[in-house]
Amino acid sequence: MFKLIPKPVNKLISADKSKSRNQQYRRFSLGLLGAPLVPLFTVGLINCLIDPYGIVKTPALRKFNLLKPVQDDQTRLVKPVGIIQLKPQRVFLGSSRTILGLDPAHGAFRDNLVTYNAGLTGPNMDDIKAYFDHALLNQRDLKEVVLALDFFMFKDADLPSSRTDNQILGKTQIPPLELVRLTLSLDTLASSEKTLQDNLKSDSSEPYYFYGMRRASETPDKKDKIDSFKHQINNYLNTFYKDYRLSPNSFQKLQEIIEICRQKNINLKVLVSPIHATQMQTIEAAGLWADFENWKREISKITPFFDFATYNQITTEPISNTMKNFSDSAHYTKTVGDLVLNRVFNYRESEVPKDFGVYVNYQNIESHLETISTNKNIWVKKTPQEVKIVNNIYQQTKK
Amino acid sequence: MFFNSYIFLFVFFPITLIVYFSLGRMKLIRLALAWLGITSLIFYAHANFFLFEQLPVTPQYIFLLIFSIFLNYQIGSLIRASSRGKLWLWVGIIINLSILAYYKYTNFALTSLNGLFNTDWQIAQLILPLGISFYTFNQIAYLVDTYKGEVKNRYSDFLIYSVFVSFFPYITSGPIVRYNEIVPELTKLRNFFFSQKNFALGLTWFCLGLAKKVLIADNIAPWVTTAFSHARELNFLEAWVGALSYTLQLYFDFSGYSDMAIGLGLMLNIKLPINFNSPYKAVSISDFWRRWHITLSNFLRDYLYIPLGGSRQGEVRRYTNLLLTMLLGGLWHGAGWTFILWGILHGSYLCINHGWRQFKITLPKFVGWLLTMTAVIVSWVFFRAANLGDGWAIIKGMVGLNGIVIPGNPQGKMAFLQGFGFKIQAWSDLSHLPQVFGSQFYCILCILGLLLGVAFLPNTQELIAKFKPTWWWALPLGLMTSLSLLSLNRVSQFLYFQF
Repeated sequence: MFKLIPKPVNKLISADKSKSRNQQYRRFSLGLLGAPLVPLFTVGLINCLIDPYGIVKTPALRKFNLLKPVQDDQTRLVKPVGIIQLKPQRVFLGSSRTILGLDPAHGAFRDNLVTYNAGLTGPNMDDIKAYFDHALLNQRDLKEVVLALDFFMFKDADLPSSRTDNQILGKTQIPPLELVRLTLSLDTLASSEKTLQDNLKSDSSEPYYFYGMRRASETPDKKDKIDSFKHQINNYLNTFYKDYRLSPNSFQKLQEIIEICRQKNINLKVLVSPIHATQMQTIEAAGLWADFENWKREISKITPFFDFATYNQITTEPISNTMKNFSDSAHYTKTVGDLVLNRVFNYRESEVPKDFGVYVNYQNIESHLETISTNKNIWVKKTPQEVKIVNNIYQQTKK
Repeated sequence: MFFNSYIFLFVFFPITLIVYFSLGRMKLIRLALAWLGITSLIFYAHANFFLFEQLPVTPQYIFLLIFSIFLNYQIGSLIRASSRGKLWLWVGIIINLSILAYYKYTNFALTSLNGLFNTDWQIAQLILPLGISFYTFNQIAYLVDTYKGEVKNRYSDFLIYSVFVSFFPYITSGPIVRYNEIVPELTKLRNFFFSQKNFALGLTWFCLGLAKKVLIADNIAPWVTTAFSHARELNFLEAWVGALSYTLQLYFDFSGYSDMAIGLGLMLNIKLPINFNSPYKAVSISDFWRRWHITLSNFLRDYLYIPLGGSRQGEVRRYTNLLLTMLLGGLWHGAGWTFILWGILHGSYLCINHGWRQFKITLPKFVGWLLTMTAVIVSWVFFRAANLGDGWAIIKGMVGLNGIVIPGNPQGKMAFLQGFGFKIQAWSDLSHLPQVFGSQFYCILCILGLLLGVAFLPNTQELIAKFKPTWWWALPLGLMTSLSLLSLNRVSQFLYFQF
């Protein structure tokens, strides 16, 4: 029987078999490549709708995605994107002090310049210079820079900077692959979930961030003020002030910023952020007072600046749950930030305490440092309890 | 670029594949081969520019690779043509090893000499050229095989040779391949035509590898970092969790990478050698080396151990050869005392293994497995530790010299154990014990689960052997792959890029 089947048909059958086999493999591959599309699309859609980092600019709705609390942990993603999207003509550069304290809508800015608070969490001067460059790249007509300096920014150490940072910084648009990577991500999905939960709990109709400035926390601080102070002092002793050395490279970066501003006719205001007296005492306890003074000395050689990190009415406010100027030893409030900007921009100066914000240059630096030193001794004598708190924490960290 | 990056998955590989098979379909075979060479160089160049953001870009290393390809191809021709083949072989080996040694060991040698003689010789910190350890070995093997006359003349072709050295699935992290293995794949006409079957199998292989890397290894990675960066503070439990985590991470990372490489090769109709075969099922140390990084152990056996004399020149020489082979194997992984000790440990393990065989006593399988695993885990601790001191500190923790700590309530039911020298500490005091879903206990469960997995479950190739092109395979694999893709947005790199 079988012999009757002519040869070509035999071949045909085997070809058919392999064809159907091939089709099976093809279907399988298409299935395997296609199956992930459904979850990927779903996750992507949720992340785009909620937009937890505020990078795709979907509408912000109350009780849904108006508040974006995750942005707090992602300043190195949010800020470069903010600069790309807004192309600000006036930027504030600095640390978390800047984020919380300096208001882009401050009364001193009556011009129509787009003002953006580009403060970062825990930057060093390399970061500051990189963000300055980024701002300049995205706005060739940059008019004004407010540069708020902190002692820890000049530490000689490799601070890890996050990866997302590098992908967007120094670009004039978010690279499409980066956008895909951030949207199709389980990490972002977790951020979306947190965003949604926080929004459901809150009644606020104001977003957290306003042109890069972090508006006050929606949930009032239930912790005792003194605990916040202790936490921050401990934190600084264990991180920034540990093995502290001034980095010559940081001054170089400052010099470069100043040079570029001069060349491009950008109005630059340099200031040293206010810190609470206990924070200065922490610097003293860590054995870094001479470095702290040298730091200001070196800055004064490069540029004149407003020094707010002195002993004055604002920074010596006694620690209490009702205090107005500081949320902890290192972070001043918006009220203080307004006074800082008043002083720097000669705006309603009568509201600013006389001893708050000293204009320092290479000529008056020594006498200025001497005054601080004298005032420090007075403060130490007047507030032994606060000094003791700092010293106790220092002793503990040493153990 | 990494295999687990969007640019590779969605741009580089699809374009490579489509153009390659389009050229094949048009019968433009040489052009298709050239395309593989070009894309491989692009892959390598991209890696040199963008792979490690903290390191400076190293475009010069692309030229180093090209130079190395030219040089070795020429030496290969000389070995074949000249009557002084042996001389040229040695010239080739010495040049290759010198380049490798210069980039890999100069800094280490200087630091060691400075420490020894209290001097201060310095040169600028050299960055290790990507994949140099792998492409050097591939090419030395080529020279030796050519000398032995094993490389067929009809396979001698510069274009094919360039693709053999630079082929992107293996250039950065292996598997180590041999010319005779790869070239037939690159010359078969049939292989230039798209194969539904090979694509399906390769894709499956790749997805399994991706999941091993992204879903398992990358999630364990932070546990390892926690333990090894606090090496001197670990108690018994923390030290074991750290050591076992690294044992698992290295396996899932490296074998995942190898699986991806094999899958990529297969999608292009090029069969690459298997690199792992359930190493943690090994019941003896020689069994382990037949299962772990198989292409490296084969290379060391064929191009080092056997030429040194292997086991043919008496027992003393055999043991010396074993030790020397593994010592150099350790040094190949990196310039550092930890790698040297790792090599010595494995050399000694193998010697003990061979010595034991003389007694002709077979241990029960479980005992053999337990001994092997312990020995391997100890060696991994030194392999990963920042320095010998750290490694030693972890080993001390693991044997209980820092006190055996049991998690629990110090005042609870377990309190009686304190009478027997155990310490009972609250979970919250075990600060170097990582958490999974907020619980340290889950972390321990995860590690135990994964250990059971590597000891009992089938490996990738065993799974593939059961493969059928059905929805039952496609859907779960697809779902797993979507999880992998959604987890890519994390900082991660392949461990074997460092070697």
